[in-house]
Amino acid sequence: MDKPQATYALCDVNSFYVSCERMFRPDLYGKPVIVLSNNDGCIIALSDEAKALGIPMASPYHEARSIIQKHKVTCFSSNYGLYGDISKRFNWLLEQHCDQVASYSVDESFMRFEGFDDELTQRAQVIRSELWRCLSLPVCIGLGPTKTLAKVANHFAKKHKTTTHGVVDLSIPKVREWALKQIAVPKIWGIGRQLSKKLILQGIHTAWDLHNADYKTLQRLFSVNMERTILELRGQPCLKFSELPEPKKSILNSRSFGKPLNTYSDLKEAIAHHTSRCCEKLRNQSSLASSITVFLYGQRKEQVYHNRPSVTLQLPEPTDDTSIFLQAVEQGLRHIVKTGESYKKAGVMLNGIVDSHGYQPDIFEAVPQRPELMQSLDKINRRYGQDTVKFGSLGFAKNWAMRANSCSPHYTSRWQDILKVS
Amino acid sequence: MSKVSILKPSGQYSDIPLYSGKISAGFPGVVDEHMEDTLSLDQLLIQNPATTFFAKVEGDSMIGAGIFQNDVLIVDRSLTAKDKDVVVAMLDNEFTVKRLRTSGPLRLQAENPAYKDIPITGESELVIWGVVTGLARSLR
Repeated sequence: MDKPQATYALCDVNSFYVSCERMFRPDLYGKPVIVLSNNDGCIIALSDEAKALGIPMASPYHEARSIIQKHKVTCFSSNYGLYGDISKRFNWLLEQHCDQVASYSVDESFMRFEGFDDELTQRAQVIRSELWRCLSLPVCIGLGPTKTLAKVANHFAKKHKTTTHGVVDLSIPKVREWALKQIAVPKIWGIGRQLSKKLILQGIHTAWDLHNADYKTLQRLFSVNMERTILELRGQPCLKFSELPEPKKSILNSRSFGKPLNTYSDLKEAIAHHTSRCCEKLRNQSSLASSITVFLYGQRKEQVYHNRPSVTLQLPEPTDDTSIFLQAVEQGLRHIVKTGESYKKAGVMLNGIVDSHGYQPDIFEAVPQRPELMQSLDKINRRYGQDTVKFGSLGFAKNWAMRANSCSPHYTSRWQDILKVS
Repeated sequence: MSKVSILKPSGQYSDIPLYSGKISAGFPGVVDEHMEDTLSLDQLLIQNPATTFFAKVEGDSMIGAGIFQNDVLIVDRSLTAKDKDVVVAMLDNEFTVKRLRTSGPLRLQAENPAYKDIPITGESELVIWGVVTGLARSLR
């Protein structure tokens, strides 16, 4: 095997949401803490202490309520503003320690170190202690000659946190063999459950089996992605370091209400909010859309939504102007809302998406476009917070807003919420 | 360089450009060449944006150091505290701002004669959360 050109690292924060909360509440170290999803419905993050109590991840809050009360578990509603800010700082700090960073999700990022460096394990330890000291983030770091191996290494660093001190390097062939023999195929990055069933039929049970498989044969049986995974497991990088996501072909925003809604004005507010978010996403990816679908979910009966009205509105011309979509959805909503019915969920979806660069408007059908207005709107809202400036139909009552009964202060994004010291 | 665009420092903190780049007449080239960044307080007060947080002062224990109630402290968590630094520390699960003294017995010092020094002995664990590097105050 050739000497690797670069070493990759996957740095992953343990219980990220809980760690963000604890940074400003050090009294909660050593105590069970959980974070709940939108609407406080589901448990989406657990501290190790909460895991030890047997509270399952992603379980509904009400199912775990008795354990939570008995053991005085601290519950937080999700504070996405805070988590986003800390995630940004996390990546920023990583950038100071390596040649390139690619954020993979809110709490995990790949790093790339050029050339081969014997000292990388020590460097990873330095990064680890710095993230803990500067941002109170406990992390595990997996190192390897490819992204796929870095991901496997990260898994072991997390699983054997105490013996590995949170860092595992799979650049060493012996360690790699030991690790890959313990990884079942469905656990390999990029191999889904369906693919693993087929691989098992071929007698391939572990990552080590796949590593030794003939990639030419498997490429014929599966796809070029399978070949890439095998080569990556052998230490040959095949994946691009950072890939920009493709612009979305349709954009959706929807949410369940805190409590069922039955008035047109409340529903209109919710729909207008979702429309406004979708249009922001649309402008972010520099696209225009030509149709919008409004949908509502009625109350559930026997676990099933029977009443799911929807309407699609076609615009004469693609646009990214929020006000044009708002006019359209108001008309659409009137068609589908029935008086006396109450609704549990609402949303909108944009379709007919085209790239805004190089789009030729039809001079006869032209919808008035106001790109400067939209740009200013987005700029102000980015700087001063969501909905600082908004359209009147977005309303101010927010009866539909999600329940967030125990949200922590917005320590990094609202002046009135910053840390208090005496 | 990284493709993670969210990490650019200028996006995170306010820096109001003097000039947006659009000009309808005159000699735009000359204007462009002489453009400089507008001064920003962030640039002056924040060395490490990734690790800098703000905190609000409650109480009068630090008035001798010119730190008053409601002042906004600029706290850098990446710095290692040394003797005489003003620090934000954790004491009995409360955040406190005091002067760290390491020469002589380890202690936290208030800057107000009404407050006694807080000795850091074996029993109390001292956790330095960050070093105060500056402050901001509005005078009206």
